[in-house]
Amino acid sequence: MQPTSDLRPSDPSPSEASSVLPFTQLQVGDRARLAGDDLMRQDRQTLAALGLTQTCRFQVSRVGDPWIVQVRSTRIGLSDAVARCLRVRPEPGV
Amino acid sequence: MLQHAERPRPAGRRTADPLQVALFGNPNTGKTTLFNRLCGMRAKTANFPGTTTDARLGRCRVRADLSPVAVTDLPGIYRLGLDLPESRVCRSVLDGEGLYRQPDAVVVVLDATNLSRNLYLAAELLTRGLPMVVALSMVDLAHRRGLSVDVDRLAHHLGCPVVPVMARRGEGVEALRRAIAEAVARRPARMPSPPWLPACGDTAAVEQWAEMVLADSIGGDDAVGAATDTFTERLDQAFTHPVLGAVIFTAVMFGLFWSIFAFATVPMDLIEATFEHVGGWLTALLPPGPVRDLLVDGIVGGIAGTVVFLPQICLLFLLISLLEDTGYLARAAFVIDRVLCRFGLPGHAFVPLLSSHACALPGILSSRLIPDRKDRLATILVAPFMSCSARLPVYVLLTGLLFAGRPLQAALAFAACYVIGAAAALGSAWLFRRTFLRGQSRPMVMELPSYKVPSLRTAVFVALDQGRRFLRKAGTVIVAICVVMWWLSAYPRSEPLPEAVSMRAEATQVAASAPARAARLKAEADGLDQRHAQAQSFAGRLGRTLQPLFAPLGYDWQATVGVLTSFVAREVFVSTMAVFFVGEDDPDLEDAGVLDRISQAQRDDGTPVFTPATSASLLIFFVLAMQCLPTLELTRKETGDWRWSLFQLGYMSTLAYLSALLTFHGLHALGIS
Repeated sequence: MQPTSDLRPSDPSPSEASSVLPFTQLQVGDRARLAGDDLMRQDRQTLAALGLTQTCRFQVSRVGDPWIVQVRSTRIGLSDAVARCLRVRPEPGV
Repeated sequence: MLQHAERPRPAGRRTADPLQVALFGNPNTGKTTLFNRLCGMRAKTANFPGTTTDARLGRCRVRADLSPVAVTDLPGIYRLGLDLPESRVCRSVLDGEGLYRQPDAVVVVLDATNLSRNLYLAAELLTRGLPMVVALSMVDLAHRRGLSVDVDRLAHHLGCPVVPVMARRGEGVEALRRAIAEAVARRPARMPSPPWLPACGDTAAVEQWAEMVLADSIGGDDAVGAATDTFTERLDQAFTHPVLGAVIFTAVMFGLFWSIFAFATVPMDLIEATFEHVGGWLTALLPPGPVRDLLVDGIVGGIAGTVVFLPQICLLFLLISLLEDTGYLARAAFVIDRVLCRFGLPGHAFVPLLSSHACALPGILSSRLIPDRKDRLATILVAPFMSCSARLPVYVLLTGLLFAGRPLQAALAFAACYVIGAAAALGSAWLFRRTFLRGQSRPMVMELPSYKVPSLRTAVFVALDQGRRFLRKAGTVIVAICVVMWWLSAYPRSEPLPEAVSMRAEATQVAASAPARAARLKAEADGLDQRHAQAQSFAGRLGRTLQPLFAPLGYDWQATVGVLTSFVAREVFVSTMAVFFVGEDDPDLEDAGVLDRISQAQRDDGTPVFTPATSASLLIFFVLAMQCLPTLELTRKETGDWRWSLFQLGYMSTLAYLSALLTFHGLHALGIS
């Protein structure tokens, strides 16, 4: 997937970068927030519309293909190709 | 707003136009169930001009003293501002742009169990200034999860009426009708947005507003929505497991196909018997001649040939709708995505390809759900490879000829046809995505809806709607094709053969003393004349002319006529062969005598017509060939370019020809001729 630089969220600052992980390193039960992505515009819009934004905390329900995350009451399935494009900031307790 | 999909009127309301209400909501909020409650059976599906997006149109009486309002069930969208076809159409409807008339009121369906996400769409709609009513759905599910909704607080924050509804049981629907009546009565006054509502361009502010509304309106342990539902977790683990998930998927698909074959047979037989009676009645009523032949063989035969597929189509969509309503199909899409993506197709292609097993027409229409253009085009091009209902009589005939008296081998060959069709579809998709449709399939991001007991009522509505659409799209074309084919096969008229004349004379002489022999002689005479008439007809002459082209596949001129006539509609092949070899155009293929007569048919030089190699070659040809004019027309319409239809016809015909050639000569090389 090609990133669309005109709409890509800002990269984390150096001080925040150390806490940013690839999404695929999360485990079941981990909580995190989105920190960035390399998605196509439409996929990013769909994720945001489903509630998976940088301000919203999610919990991982299933790892692997498909990845399943829960954002409040919404369960979202993500194929591996999407998951590999996401970066997250884990929440305390992970 | 759409007045009538086929004849859109200019924007701007005239006094005589009915009041318009647009129904919005996220996907999986019960919007369609609510629409069906409001409008019932008086609804139809229409296409937004210039798009491949559909909407359901219906009428609803909201108050006794008001004329019924027109209700449009718009596609489910997460946000108005997304750059997706469905969101663009919804924005155009709201703004009354172009051919659309602005609605007099909007109803937005919010899911009570998922308010934080649903409220974003509500906020976007509020800023449009149209009278609005909120239908709060899934209230029963919310109660079961321990959620309590303060409807008055929610209404205060939104600045519009909020009506809790349980559409499946019909609860709250009357209150919703009253609220709609009050809303449409406020037009044309523009409603101000609530002052505390942030601008929709400020995503973070809207999300904060939604959080505030949620906190003030919803109570209960799961109000934050972070509680884990163990039941859902366990089912998701099972349904998406790499091994168990695939096993469950295979079992579900097997059950689905078995159900279709098991339960559609009875209504299909009833339909055939009904039309036979109608044909018989017309035959008895009308004097012999071209008018009777046109009515009985052309029109009634053509309508019968279309309507007979309805049970399978309706049953397939009934079962798909039930599966979708349970929430399982979304998980199944991810399971099958692991397979499909290797061939350049997305998981979203699963339902279109599955639907194509009943008929490619609804399958291709279902491909509108696929978001990516190249993914959608690849799916449309390969969907006709799936073995559809029209191929079944041909498979029954040819596997019966190949494995006469060996039902197990015949059944395995029958099943193999499905596998070959699916393999051809996947292989072709793989090739297309590496050549002119270069690229990978779009990875899947999809909401996994809650598991719930499916609504039979909704599924029945979907099935009936799909059946109506099939009759509308295919019926007219197939009937026209059958009339044309009948004419090509019936004209020019030929004189009765001298041999047949003498048989009839002998039958008349022995009618009193040996009525059984007289009946047999008359039937043989009719059969002789029918075969002669077919051979002398335009279709027969075309077959003889083009037979050298199909000779390498092992076909004589009679089989060639069958193949050529079936290029416009596959099901014509069986009736063509029956006319040639049995003397009637609608034989009972389960009758061993009928199969015997077809299998013993001889060419002009005395050799058998249906050798094993020829039968196998024909079978492979029918599995792979594009033989459906309505499908080609729909491909042109959905792709917007007639060249894709031509490509589809050329590619599939070439593949069918070469595969049949390979099969025929391969079997010869193995000594099976």
